[in-house]
Amino acid sequence: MEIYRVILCSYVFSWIYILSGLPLTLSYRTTKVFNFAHPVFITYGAYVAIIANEVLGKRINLVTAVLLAFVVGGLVSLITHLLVFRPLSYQRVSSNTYMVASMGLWFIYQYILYIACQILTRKYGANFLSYPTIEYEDVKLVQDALRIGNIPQYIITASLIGVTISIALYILFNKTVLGIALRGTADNVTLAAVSGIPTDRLINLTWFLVGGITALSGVIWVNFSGSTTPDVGLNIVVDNFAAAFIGGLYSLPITAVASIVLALIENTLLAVLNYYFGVQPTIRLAIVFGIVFAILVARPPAGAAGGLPYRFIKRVSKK
Amino acid sequence: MNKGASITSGKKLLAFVVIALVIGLAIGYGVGYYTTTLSISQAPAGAERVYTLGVTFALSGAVSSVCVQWTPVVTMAIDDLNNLTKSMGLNIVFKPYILDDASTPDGALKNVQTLYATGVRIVIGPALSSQVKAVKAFSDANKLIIIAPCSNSPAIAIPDYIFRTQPSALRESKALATYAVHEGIRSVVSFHINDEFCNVFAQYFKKYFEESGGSVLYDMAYQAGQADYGSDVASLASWVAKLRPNAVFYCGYDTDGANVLNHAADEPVLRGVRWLTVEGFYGASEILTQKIVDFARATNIIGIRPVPIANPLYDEFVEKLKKYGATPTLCSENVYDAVMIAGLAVLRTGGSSDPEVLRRALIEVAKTYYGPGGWGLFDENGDRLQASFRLWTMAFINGTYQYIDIGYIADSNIVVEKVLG
Repeated sequence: MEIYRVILCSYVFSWIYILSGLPLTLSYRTTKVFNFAHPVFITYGAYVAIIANEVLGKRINLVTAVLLAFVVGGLVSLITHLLVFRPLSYQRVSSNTYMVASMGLWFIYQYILYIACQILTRKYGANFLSYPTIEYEDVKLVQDALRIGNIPQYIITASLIGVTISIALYILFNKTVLGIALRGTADNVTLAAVSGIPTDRLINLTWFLVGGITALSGVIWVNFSGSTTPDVGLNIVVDNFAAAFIGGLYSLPITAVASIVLALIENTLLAVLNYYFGVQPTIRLAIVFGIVFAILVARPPAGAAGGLPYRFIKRVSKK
Repeated sequence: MNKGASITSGKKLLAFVVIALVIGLAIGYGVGYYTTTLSISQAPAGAERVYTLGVTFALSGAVSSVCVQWTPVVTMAIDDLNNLTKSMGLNIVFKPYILDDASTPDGALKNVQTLYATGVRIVIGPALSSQVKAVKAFSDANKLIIIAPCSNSPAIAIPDYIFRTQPSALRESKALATYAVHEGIRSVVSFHINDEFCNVFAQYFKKYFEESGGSVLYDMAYQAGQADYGSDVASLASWVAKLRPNAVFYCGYDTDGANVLNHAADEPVLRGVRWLTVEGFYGASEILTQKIVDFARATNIIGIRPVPIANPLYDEFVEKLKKYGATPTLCSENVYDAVMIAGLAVLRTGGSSDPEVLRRALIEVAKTYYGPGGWGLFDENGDRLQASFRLWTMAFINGTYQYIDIGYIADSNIVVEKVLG
């Protein structure tokens, strides 16, 4: 069995799900908004890289793509919060209203992108509705210098972005005052405000980080996939939400583990089932979600599901 | 409460309900009459009469990169129809009403319902066979004429109100099987998207290939609408490594096709076998990358597509389309023919909204229509009868990556005109 390529796919998908799932959990923890438009940030990140690639004459560096995608994704997310979610929060609307609003935003963002793609297709003569793989020039240089051209570029890209962001998030939340303030705001915004923490600013920063980090999974995507379409986020959304739900929309480590498990199930497990048992890959979603349901039943998520956040469960059970 | 007053108020209520019902019926009748005649309105004498042709295309979603390029074709065909009516001194203007169905069966059905509700009686599209299947029940129930320009699944070759300007894939699958055997291919692994067209094509290809002495060693379908198909391609590589077929038969479309071929190019085992394919991704620009074209040359990938051989009208169509800022993609010529046949049928009936009259007119017009897609004649199922096929591949020629025709198949004769290295 050609297991090597399947494992590579699982590896890349793990990072894509982690980089899009963690911010979804983060945004819910901090604002209690379940943002259905979240996958749009993946798509926008991918398209920032694509547009930059065309503008730069198809010679884009990973560093450029990362910076642009992070800033654009972050700004779109922040603007969404300032123009939609924050005004809704002032009106003290129910969570259903947030959900409906975010679904509407999803469609709006999606069609804005379609319109942009059609305009850009005319301007640059490239097909923006289905764009081929992008190779990053600087990664190619590194590969040549280190003589590791036989390693697929997307493995290097995913590793660089994934590891860097993971370390950065760990340091931010565990080693900095800002991160502790962010966690405080996420746990109890009223208490944080009373304690003198500028909660509004921190919530703005959270939304910026959420959009920015999610957009980076799009930067990996265009380097990995054979075709990027405006539906990329839409096609990932189910796995993305599943990972976040398994993490109870609260626990970042469990969301990360769930992302890896999902990527392994839908790539490696399915390939094994196909090869050894003749199971057709067309039932991928059924198998993936059968296992997700089993996990949810065996270990119900906390947080959004109404239970206590994971880190409190142990303390309560000890008592 | 006073009983007399109650009876009086009851009578008043009853009278109000009856009056409201009568007014409602009158309004409903008026609206119904207006909407059913809207697309082919009876204008006052001397005034311009507008005929609306409904269009549902996949302007977003899986096959959008091909379908967005059909919109200029519709514009061109409508312009040609309007020039024709002008030259005939008719005060008639054709207008398209184009809706996006997002490449989904549900989207196509909603669009067809919307178009019907606005009075449209002939719809051009949808693109995919799965979408045509989804609108069939509505078309049958309402006698709404559908002219699908690119669907060719044999599963919907049924006498009804659906016409297809693409010949049924039955003959195409037989032609590809004949070509495979002609090339000395005796065993294949079949790999295709799980949809109406590709499932049926793979099924008939298997039937005809095995009747000709070949063998389909394994048939593997992958689910449409995934973000990526990398692990499916890895599974295909495992089967090819295990079964050692002479070739891979592949059926997919533009977006998934680019994805699949891109991943396949990374698999040494998949570069070591020949590939056969259909017209699914022909014309899609995302396929024409160095990586995929190199893969195409390494595997000598050959595709088949239903196009008339040596048709000067097709060449004229290609040149004319350039003025609209477009180049022909898959089924572009069939889109043009669909609009033209629809328009000519409307003119032939003098603007009738009677579906039976329009249906008969379509059949009659198609008998004498010859366009860039060839002779328009429909068979007993409303599918284009004329079927000849070109063989195509991809190559780097004159500094560009392009699709090129290398031969044709007509009446069981296989002619290979070009052999690429």
